[in-house]
Amino acid sequence: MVPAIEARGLTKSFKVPVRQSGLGAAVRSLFDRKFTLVDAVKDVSFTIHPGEIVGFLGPNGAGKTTTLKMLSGLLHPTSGTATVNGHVPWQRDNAYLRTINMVMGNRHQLSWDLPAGDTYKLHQAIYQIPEAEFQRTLEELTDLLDLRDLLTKPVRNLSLGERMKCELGAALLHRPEVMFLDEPTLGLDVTMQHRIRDFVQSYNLRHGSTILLTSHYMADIAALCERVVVIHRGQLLFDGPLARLVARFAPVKRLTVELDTADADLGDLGTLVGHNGFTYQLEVAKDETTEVTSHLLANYNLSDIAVEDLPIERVIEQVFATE
Amino acid sequence: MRLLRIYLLSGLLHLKEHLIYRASLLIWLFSMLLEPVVFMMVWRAVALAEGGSAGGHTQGTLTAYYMTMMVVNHLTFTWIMHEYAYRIREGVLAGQLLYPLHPIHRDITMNATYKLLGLALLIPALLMLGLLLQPEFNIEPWQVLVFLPALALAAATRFLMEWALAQSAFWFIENHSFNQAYYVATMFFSGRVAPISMFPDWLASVSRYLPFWASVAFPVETLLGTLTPDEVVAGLVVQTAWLASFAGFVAWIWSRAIRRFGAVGG
Repeated sequence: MVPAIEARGLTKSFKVPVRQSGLGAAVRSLFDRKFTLVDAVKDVSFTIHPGEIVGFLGPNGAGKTTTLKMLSGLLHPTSGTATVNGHVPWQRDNAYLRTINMVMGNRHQLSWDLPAGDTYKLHQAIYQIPEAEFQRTLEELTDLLDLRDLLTKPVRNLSLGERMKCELGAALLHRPEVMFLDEPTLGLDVTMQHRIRDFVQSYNLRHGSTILLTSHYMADIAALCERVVVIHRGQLLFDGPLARLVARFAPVKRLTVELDTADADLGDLGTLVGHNGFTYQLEVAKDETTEVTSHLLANYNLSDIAVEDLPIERVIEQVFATE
Repeated sequence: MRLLRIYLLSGLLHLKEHLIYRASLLIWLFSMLLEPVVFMMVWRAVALAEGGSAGGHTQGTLTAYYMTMMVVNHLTFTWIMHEYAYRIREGVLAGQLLYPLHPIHRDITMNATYKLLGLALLIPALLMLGLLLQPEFNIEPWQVLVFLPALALAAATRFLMEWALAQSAFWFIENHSFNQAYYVATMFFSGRVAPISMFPDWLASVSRYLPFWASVAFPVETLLGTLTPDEVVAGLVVQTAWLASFAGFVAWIWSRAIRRFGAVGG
């Protein structure tokens, strides 16, 4: 199968001026400017197949957005190669740009002062979408995103969530084969995050688009991505199924137990991470979970017990903490 | 055909955007039109004090000069270089670069629609000045015929020159100083402060080879008949040369700028 996205040794370095504080240093820098090279992305390689939704994870400044910008043709890499839909992104062929789009949660492409519908018509002309196809896609997006009442209101009068729905609609009018979603749920409330997530999933199922998604909301990743690529300080840390990431970086399970006493000493059974009245939260090594559960059942009066994997946020914390 | 449709739709979009901020639009246009009126009044006062003419211009020909300058300046000016650094910093350019369309097209339509709207204020202003100040126009039909292509070449040259200047924002985070230096040069050498014919001969000769003259003063002087046919032909050659140079320069600088782009703003 021809990959939708293939990155090999992708590296992007930025030349950053180095300045000490103080007036003397400011004057000296007039005559002797010093720079340092910062590797925003360093030797990153991965392959994504058509139709996959891949979560791109990393803390702030890890290099996620820089990688997305190279893949979408906004940035030239310092070294390395990449192809997306068979094109070298930074050559910026129109044929390539017609097959992709990128949605950034903190940026907008719609005209701020006009209804989104006006910008949609311009997109139709830019992407040369035949009228019948445009109407069909618009109808579909209107249904999926519930846009009907939004397309006639000026964008600046929409809520953040409504605006993001219109942005997604605009980005998908030309049915891109590859979508780069950079924090699409940024700042949205839980309900709206859920709706955007559902939309991305159903769009992917309907059209088989390839989606590379970054998000700080792990619920987005958990709901949408079977596979994740983890990047930290510009370097690739992990590439594989989300379940394997959890298994590899979270060797513990979380036990939540409710006892008939508030004074039990459970510290010997694992790490006590929470205690509120009769409820205790323990983190226990995975291979000891059965033994600890049996011990609790045999020695305490349990009203309730729950055994779960660590929340994905904690797993990610562990990933970055161990590196 | 595709580009024509994009221009029409994009023009319509910009027209609607401009019309939303009507008060702001009126103030900008008014201040834009005020500049030639101020210089016209100053030079008219000088001519009056000098006994009827200044540097060979009467009050009537000075009025005609600045009325024509008002039209040409309005139809050729751009403001792209003043907002380009903002576009880069705020991620606006990154959004535009995702389209399969060169961002220059957006600037062309935005500029053109603004010019169109400006006519609503420009035409009454010209009529009023014409009624109040009795301009002396001596226009031959051939001058009008040459004026139109000269104006089109001037608009294209100035647009590309200022678009190229705007690209400095890729190299310098703070590029307002470049814009200011350009503004001073263009004010002086494009005949906006004073007609080039008032300059010392050597400076006037040098000015007529510069792009500032080619992109503003030349169409004005052509229409008003202050140039001989030979000078008009020479002017068209200078204009064409500058236009070709800036077209090549814009293509070159854009290919360099896009490689340098850091997309830091978003």
